[in-house]
Amino acid sequence: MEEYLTAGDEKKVDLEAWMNDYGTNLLRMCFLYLKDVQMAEDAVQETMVNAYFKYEDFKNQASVKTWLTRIAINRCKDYRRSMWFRHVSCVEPAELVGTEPQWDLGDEVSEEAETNQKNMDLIKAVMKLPVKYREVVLLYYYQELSTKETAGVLAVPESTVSTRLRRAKQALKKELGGWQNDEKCD
Amino acid sequence: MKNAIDQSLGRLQLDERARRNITERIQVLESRGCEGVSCDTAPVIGRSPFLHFGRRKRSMRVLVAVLLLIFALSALCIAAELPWKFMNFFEAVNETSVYDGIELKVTSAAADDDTVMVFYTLRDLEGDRISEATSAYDYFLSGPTTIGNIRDGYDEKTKTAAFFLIGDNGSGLKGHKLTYAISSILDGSPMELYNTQRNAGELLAEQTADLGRPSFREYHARQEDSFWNAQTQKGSNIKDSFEKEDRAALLQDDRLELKFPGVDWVTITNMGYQDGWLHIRVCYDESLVDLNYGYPCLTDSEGREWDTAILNSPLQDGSEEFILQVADVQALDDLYLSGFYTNNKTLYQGEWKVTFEVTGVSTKTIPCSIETGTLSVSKAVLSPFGVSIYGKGERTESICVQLKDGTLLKSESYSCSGDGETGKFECKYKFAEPLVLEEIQSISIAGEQVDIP
Repeated sequence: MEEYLTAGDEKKVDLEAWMNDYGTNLLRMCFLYLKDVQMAEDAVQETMVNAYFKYEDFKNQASVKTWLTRIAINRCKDYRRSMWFRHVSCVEPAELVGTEPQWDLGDEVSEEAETNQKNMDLIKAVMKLPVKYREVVLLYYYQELSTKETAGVLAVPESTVSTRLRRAKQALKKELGGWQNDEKCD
Repeated sequence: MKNAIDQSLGRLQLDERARRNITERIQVLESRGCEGVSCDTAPVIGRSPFLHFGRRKRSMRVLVAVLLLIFALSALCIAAELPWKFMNFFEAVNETSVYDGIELKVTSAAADDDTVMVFYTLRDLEGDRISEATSAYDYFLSGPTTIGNIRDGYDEKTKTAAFFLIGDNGSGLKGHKLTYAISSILDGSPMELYNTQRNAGELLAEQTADLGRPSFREYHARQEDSFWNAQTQKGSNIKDSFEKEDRAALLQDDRLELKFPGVDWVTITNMGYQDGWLHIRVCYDESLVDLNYGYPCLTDSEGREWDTAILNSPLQDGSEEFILQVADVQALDDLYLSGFYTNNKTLYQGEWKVTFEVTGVSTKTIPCSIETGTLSVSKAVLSPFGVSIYGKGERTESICVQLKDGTLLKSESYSCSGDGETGKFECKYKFAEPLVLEEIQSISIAGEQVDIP
């Protein structure tokens, strides 16, 4: 806990360190969850502000990373549930929500481009996953949380996380025609 | 996977601007003497309120780069009106793409340098998957920065749904290849008002929920990270005071099972009333909630929405508690429990992609040197679709066009993109009628007149 407190002031959180260590990581996770850069930035801002003021309530029951991730993923969920608000517009609402797939617009395919394309295909496939699968993939593979930590963040049983991960992998494999991910062990 | 994501999203970082926004927000809260989340009512700093309207769909890498530059967009309300007045400018395209038996056909398009308008259709060649309620869900149009996509009609006989797409704030659109692609198609209904036909006062009387009022901290100990969302303009106005009053979601269990006729994914599971607020707990079908959205409301005996403040708090279990301001509980005796909801049921995924080229309309570029102290404009581009202004500083919400016969036209809408750091922007101002360039004598920007040669 002391790790993120500014020296000489027990109540002062070292916000800079949080932003350095976790800011970009959370931003990318929120972007993949929400499919929207601005909303992702908002979610990270609210995460940091919320965590800053609630740090005293953080009892070191989890790592700071897991704790921040939990707040961020809940913010993302809240944003999704409130999406109707932004749809109150002149434009048909359903059509404003969407992923940004990588479309093949060029002919030249270098090795680097091929790798980039594979990466983009993977991201595209992740963003296509239903939310309940997407969130376990983001937490487990991107945030590198354990299944136990993932279960804690999502407030679901660990067995549910395992099932969702398995189904998510099946879906990704189907989408990508054989997904060779760097498997990790808890 | 982590490496793949980090490599591909390398440009998406918590930059200095975002960090500054976080720090400033905390300073604002601390300056108010706030020590806890219940004081966290300062608005998100740096939010672009209209960013989400008419969002562009494009390559993620380009999207990230471009969206980071966008600081404000006007709602594309103009897109809600189909451009019948502009039909003379449309060129036939008739390019198709078929995936899994569903055909995307771009029928015609029109473009100037920064705006493109497209008519397209979706048709099921094998079955009945395309209905009146079908819409593109995930889609991408190369070129423009802002985009609107609206339904144009449905032909029952051919099972063909027609749509109109308008994109703004692009560059060099005319005469270049444009790509419209769809990766998923949603079938269902847009947001509509559904009425349970149950009197709200009677429903409330049937409930026996004990609305004990836990403290905000106690509540947050159980439901960490929930917060109130303002769901109406009135709700926005009172959200801050509501949180300061230490309000919390109160309905902790399910005691009711009330559905809106025709809406399968929403169930009202509890109601209660306390201190001028009607609490409604809503649960969702997990398999459909991601495709839908909406909120409960009250309607009068004639089915009109009763105008009141609405807040909601998403809960950890996936349900939501809505709170509607009802100062006098007796008012509920004349009101009915209703809700505005979408009713989408199916998402078809695939890859439909059409590339086409539009010759485009003639435009006229006018160099400017407007300096007002807060605004500088370097260039204006006139086209039948409107006037584009390139500048820096404070954008103006409207401009005027003076015709040679003395007629003065004022722009009716605008949309902008730009760089929040440098203040540079590009705004497109649109008018009720197509502009005839030869008839324009001058344009007026922020009170400065520019003669058109």
